[in-house]
Amino acid sequence: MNGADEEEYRQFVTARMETLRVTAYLLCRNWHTADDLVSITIGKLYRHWRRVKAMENLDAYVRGMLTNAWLDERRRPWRREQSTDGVPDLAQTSSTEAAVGDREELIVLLSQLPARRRAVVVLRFWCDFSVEETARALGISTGTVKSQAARGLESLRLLATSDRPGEA
Amino acid sequence: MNLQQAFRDAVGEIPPSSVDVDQVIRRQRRRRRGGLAALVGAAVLGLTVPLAIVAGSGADAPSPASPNPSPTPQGANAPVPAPGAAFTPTDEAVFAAVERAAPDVEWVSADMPVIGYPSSWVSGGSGEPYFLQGPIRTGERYATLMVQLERDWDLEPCTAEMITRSGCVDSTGPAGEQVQTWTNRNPPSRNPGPRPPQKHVPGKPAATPSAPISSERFAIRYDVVVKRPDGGFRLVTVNASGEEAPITLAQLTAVALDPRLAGNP
Repeated sequence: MNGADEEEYRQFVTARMETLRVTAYLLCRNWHTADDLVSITIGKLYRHWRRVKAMENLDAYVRGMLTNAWLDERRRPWRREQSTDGVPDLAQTSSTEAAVGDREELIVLLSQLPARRRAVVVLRFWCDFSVEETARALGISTGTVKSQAARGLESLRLLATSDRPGEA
Repeated sequence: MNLQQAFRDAVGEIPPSSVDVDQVIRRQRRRRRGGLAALVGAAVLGLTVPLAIVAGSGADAPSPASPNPSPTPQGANAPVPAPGAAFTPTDEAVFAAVERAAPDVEWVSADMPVIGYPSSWVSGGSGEPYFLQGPIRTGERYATLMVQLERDWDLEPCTAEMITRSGCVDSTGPAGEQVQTWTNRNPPSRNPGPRPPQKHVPGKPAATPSAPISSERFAIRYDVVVKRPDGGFRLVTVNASGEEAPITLAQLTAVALDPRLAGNP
């Protein structure tokens, strides 16, 4: 990569750093892991910069890379987390989470969604991807995106309205 | 409030970033150099034909038969281009640098089954990045010489492992260049290893099957990496069968340090 390409890359990455970190945090709910994911993603982007820099929607491409990096990382044994196919009857409120204020409740609820569904919700409703962009980024059909997005929203609604242990 | 705003509010205060863009760039440059070293290793294994096909099909790879005219008169030991083709000024600069540093070295234009594997020509590029690969000889000592001209790569100092395993040596050139040399000598019994499937590029002839590995007892590889103060990066490598290469490490270093070996477009 020559100096001009590298400078262009650096500017692109720097300008999007906060958005990428927030996207990663919404997926993994851990700032350290989020920063790891962003580093992995921008490393891959560096390798392919000369080929991809002229893409029409490079932002969508990069956020798709980030989401797939998270899905890949989750498969590694030391990063594996538990996910469930269905919505739990009650929100799982640990002693730590009990201290989480209302402001962060959405993040807690989001983290309880199965990984793929969480990815769809984040791309559709945080990144504002279209159904087609989300499908392309995750390599799934548009029908799956629609159903997963609908179920994701419904799950969030159910989780948000569930009675909490200890609540009246 | 829409969901996007709700998510943003839910995230709250964003902690300081631990993402270091400069470190990411440095790591990717090292990774790229590691990939290049693997390619060099592949050449030692007698995989020069698939390497040539891969290099020739890459987006940055020079065309093997550039239509650019060759304004520089060729030296006595410079190769003759194939009919209808011509070497570029950068090719000519490489030939001249080799002739200045190692006058006994000859370029061999044809394949060299004599050393156990065919060695294909890849040349014709100009500017940076630039890559040339071609067979050379001195008397009965044959090898493949590779020259790569790049820009803005980092050169990390030798590590203890590199010193032990590859004879890595750091030094400084006469014009303040950062110089690193590697020396690897390997018995050929460890060299061939499993061969990957031969790649075939549509529209190109299939790779010539490799001739049997020669019965010579050793293979040797020298790598010289030079980073100039102006950011120019040169990697010059020779792979040879036998106990001696047709060019010495000192001569190879002189090629890499040659100030007229310029790849600037």
